[in-house]
Amino acid sequence: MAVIGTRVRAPRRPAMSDRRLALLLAAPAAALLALFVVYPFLTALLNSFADVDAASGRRTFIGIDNFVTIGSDPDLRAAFGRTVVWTVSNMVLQVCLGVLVALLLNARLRGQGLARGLVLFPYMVPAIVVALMFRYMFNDVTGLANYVLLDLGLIDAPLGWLSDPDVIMVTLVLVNVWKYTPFFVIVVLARLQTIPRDLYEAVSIDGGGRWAGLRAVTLPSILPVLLVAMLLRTIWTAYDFDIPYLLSAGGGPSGSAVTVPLAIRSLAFESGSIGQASALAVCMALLLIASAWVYLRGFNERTHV
Amino acid sequence: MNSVHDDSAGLARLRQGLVAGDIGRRQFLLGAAALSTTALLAGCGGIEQSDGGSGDGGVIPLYTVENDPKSLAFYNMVIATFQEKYPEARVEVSVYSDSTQLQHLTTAFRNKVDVGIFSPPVSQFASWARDGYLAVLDDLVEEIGPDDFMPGTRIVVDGSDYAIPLQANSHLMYYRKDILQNANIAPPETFDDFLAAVSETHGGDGHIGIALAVGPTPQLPLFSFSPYIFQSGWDYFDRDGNLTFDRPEVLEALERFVSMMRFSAQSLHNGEYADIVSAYSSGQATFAPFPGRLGVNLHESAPDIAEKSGVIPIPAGPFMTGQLHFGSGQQYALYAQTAQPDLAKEFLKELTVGEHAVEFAMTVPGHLLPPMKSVRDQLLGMLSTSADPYVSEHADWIETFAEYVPTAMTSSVSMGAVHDKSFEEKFTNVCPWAAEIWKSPPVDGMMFQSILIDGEPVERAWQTAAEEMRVVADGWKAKHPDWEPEIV
Amino acid sequence: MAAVASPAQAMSRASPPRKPVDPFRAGQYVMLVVVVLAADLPLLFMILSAFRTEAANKQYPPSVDADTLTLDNFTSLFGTYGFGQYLQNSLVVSGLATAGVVILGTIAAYALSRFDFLPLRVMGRLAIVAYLVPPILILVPVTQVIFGAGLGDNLIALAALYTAVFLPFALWMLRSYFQGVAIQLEEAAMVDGCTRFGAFRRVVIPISVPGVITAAIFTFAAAWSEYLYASTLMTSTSNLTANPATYLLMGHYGTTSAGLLMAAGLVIVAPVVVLYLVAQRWLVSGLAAGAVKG
Repeated sequence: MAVIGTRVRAPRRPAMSDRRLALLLAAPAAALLALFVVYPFLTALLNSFADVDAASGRRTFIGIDNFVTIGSDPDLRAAFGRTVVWTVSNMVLQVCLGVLVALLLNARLRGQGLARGLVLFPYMVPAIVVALMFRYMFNDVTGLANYVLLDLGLIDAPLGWLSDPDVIMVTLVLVNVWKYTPFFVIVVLARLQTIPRDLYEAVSIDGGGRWAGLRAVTLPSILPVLLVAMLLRTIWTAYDFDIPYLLSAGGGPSGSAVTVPLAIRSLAFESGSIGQASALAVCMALLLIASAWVYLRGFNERTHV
Repeated sequence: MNSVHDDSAGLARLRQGLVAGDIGRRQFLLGAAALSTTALLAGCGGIEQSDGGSGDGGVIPLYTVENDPKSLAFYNMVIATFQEKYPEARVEVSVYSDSTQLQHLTTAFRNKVDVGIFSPPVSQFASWARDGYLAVLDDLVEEIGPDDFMPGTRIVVDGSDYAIPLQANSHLMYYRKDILQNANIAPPETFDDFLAAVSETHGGDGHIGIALAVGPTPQLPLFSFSPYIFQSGWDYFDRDGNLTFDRPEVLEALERFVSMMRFSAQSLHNGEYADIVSAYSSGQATFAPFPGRLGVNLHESAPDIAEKSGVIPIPAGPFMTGQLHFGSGQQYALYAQTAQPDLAKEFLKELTVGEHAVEFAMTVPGHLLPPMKSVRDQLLGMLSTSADPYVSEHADWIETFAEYVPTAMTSSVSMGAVHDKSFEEKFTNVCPWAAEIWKSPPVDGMMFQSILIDGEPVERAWQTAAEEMRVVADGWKAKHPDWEPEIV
Repeated sequence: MAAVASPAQAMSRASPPRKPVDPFRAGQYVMLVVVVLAADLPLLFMILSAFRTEAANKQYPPSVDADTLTLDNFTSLFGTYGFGQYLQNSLVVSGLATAGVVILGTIAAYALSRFDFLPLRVMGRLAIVAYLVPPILILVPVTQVIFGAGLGDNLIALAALYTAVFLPFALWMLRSYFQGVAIQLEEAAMVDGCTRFGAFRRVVIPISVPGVITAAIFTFAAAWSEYLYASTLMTSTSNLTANPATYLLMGHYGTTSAGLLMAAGLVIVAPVVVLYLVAQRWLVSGLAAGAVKG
């Protein structure tokens, strides 16, 4: 238990007792994380190098075969591509809309308090409810969405929101953006409220208009917040299972909505290939952990300079 | 367990009412809700008791996919009468979902959860019996009397019975009388008339000719396609498990089916049962193949559509046109390591024959058709006198569905019953590799989707699927050289 | 900071009375209306469906008819389907998990924010990694751990799992929150004779209330909405939580009514909405100072 660094902060007490207190405070959380996250993660890591019998859980180690198999499967490569598209398009839309809506909700309009509450609703609706709701609305035979669009003459044939392989990913992204944009709204709004108004006044005294205020004051102050929130949401979005799975009824027509998490589920529970499922999951986790690390380093350097 | 005894008087009333159809649905549901509470309390008591590990009592878990309130109420009623006979017995009902049942059950097996009495997907029986998850039920079949079983309802693996059937139904077709009348079309009796009627009534404004669906659910493409392949004079495999899906007549059946699917909705190319139900009950489809449940559902929630509907057989091909259909059976199985095997078998018997079995059939009339001859006779005998509003209005539907049960089959259970343009009788001949063909997504389902969604030519998709089925069958047979078909 | 909510109608009256119409301002109001509609129209659909008869919901073309309004969906949801039991299970699990996360998270985050030596640093990294591990990856091993210990189908085990799964977020949020709480205050308290624990209890905790509430709300909402673990670990119906139970309502042949499902959805959403509305003030300030130390 070597002490690294000398930043132990203990002005009045002997260091040992403080350290023991700190360890004592952190121990329960650490134990829980070890049992339910670290140990299962290591098990999954082991499984990824093995052929696992679905019934007994017995492992036969087979080296990197699982990784080779998943790497050479065109469907899984397509799923990876889809996950990238899914994550990027979600993030771009959510960040842009989130910032715009937050600015709008901070513009001192009448009814702003009420609107703030109303705009946050989608974030609170559990995925299963979201999926049910939109499956009814986007049904191509009986759904409300097609009826309204047909009635208004915006489309002349029913649109296969969830049944056309070329459209389903767009629908899934739209629904996900609907549900999660409020997260950015909350985060950005929270930051906007802490910006002192005299900063804007300073800009306008210097002759700047709304646009100058936005560029000189607003954007720089929300940027750090936005970057942290983007990191979190990127991870959550890449792993998002509930909405794509429930809304596409397991992967969409011809597997056109299968992202990596859905492929992992199907490998583990439909094909019984726990080894391959683990290998796929490990690949994805490593990719995300690596990119998060790079991102965080860059972020730290930028904000600490 | 006083509460259970206190309930029995009310219970008897409720039961009689249900059978005779004297009580309204609301009344029944209220009673059912009250009983559910009792069962829940009894279930909790049971858990505490089993923790003590005493040998005389114990819990019989009962896992079902039936979430219909009437079905649940039925189970609770049987449990209450069962507990009068065996006061130490506790039966705990759990519902699990159709689409996640495989995940649910494999998780349970892997973790040695006692699933007691449950209803496995039919394609899993052979492999699960061999893996030792299912209890042998020979003694129970003997006790009930093997002659009482309708043909093709028992499941025998390696010489032993592993299943007690709970229903054997037929999947026919609902159609809109009014739409056909307005278009001056008679109910179709040949495939050509059928296709013409479908295409004639398929409109641009979202109305579809037929709510016919394929999708990733294992049984769905099989149910949709069965009339077409059977009425071509063939099955997927013959009695000895040789592939017959590659016969030229099957390709023709496939082409007929695909031409029909073109008049369905895009969402039904990757659909679920629910999509058929919603399309037909919203009045947006002229035809819809479905089992009896849709009728009950229409009667309750879309009575105007029900009034304008009829039920007919499906004319899907040249061989025995309109006579051979898909029929699904559901079976109870018993978990091999269940805590109370003897009590559980006793309870299974309660469910299968006698008064309770008739009550069960009446929970979804026309859908849960009795697999026991004695029960079937009782049920058909009381249709004309029943005061149940659905039965009195649509007894003809129930009779039609019942009439076609003996010629309605599932390929994975009655393998080779239709062969080379001949059909003698429905029988049980379990396809041992069924779980690898009708998995999720099933081989035939993927074939349909590659044709309908990816635009692959029918013939090539058919060849690929036939080859895949052949590989599965050959692979299985190579591993089990001693296998002999077991025809019951 | 908290703007006073004026009635909804005010939104459509485009401009404040004192000035002539500013087109930019008017445009903002139009945008506001569009945004609110986009966010809430689907929910309106859910609410309407929940209060309509099945026949009305199935009707095509869809119609809005006042005489089809009914409470039947709710009576059968709570009567016939016993949904109250599932809500109670969800409440127990989410409540326990929230308590667990708040207690363990607060003390651990405090330790992480005030001390910096190897085991703690490892723990901090561990929490980040834990956050990056996808639930679907550890689903199979987790079920093995829980069933292996004979704790399958156990609400308390599920709550413990949720505590572990949602802990990292709370840990990091609270840690940066505590870092923002001036250490001088705490040291001042210690100079005045408080022990470190005393300072933690008397100074740090009271100042941290908004941060803790934010963490609690996020945890509760996440646990309340969780589907994957609950549907896998709960094997008996009487122990199901509300989300997987809703999935069960969908029924065997998909014949369950839309109204019933939407009623279930509404019942699940309602408590979370109330929670957010009650705690909105703390939520925003908690985030402003916590997750988002500027």
